[in-house]
Amino acid sequence: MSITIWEKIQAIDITVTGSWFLTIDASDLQAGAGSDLNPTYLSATDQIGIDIENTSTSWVVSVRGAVTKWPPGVTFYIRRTTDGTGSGSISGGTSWQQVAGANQQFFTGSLTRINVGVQCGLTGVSIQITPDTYSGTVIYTVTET
Amino acid sequence: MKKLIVGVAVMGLVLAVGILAMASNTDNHTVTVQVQAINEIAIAGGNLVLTINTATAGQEPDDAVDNTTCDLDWTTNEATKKITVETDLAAPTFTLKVLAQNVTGGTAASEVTLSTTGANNFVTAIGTTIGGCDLQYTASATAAQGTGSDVHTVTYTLTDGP
Repeated sequence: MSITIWEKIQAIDITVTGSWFLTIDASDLQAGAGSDLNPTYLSATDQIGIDIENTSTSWVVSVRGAVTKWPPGVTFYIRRTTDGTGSGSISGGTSWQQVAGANQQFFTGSLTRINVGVQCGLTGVSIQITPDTYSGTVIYTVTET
Repeated sequence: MKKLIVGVAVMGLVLAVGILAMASNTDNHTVTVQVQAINEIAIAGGNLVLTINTATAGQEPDDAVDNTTCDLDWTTNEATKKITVETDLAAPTFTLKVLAQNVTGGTAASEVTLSTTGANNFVTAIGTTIGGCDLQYTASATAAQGTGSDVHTVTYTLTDGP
């Protein structure tokens, strides 16, 4: 019985590395003075890396956002860009999906996957957004299924 | 002793089930968007030549007017901005005026007689907007001023102000 307890304590782990810092300035105007800002911005395709470890079964990764201060009218998206490596499988999450306040499924898989690439994107940027530093947190939760 | 062992075993089972039910883990990353101040202004249309060469007999020469060659465009993400105008020509022989026409994203000020005595308001009430206008230049001369040329470098500035 004690051995059983020890195995279950080795609970599934998710490790997220990286962050995205985007600077928007006059160089982002579509055509200089008299034009608006480009509405859409994308991070590098491997901006964020996700590791799933310490599991011997299948799992689902869900995602939600928590906003500290966010520009009005701007929507945040993510998509999975790579499968990562490891003994398990992975599927889903390769289409852009909006990150909202409620948890929603991102992708699923099984066993270990290391360095699953995630790309971030913003839409809705305009000159109406006043100068400031805006930020939010993207929270990933892995749950064994 | 046997009861104690069974008790510990049961507690272990409960603990295992509990941990199994909570087999999830969370991590996060931040997203930061830094929007810097954007205040861009540009003249479209290039340089302009106004020629005064007509008159009605018995009257002063006709004004030379152009409102199609040059436009002014601006973009700002800050509130409470205005555009001022001034010339670098300290002592012009002739009179040169400019007026903002068909203004979007602001309010036209009155026609400005260009001088070096200080920047004059040209468009006011600009804030977090894309705007533009036609530049109407009017050159005037009197017969007594004779002939000659004035060369102005006209500067428009997007600056703080109501």
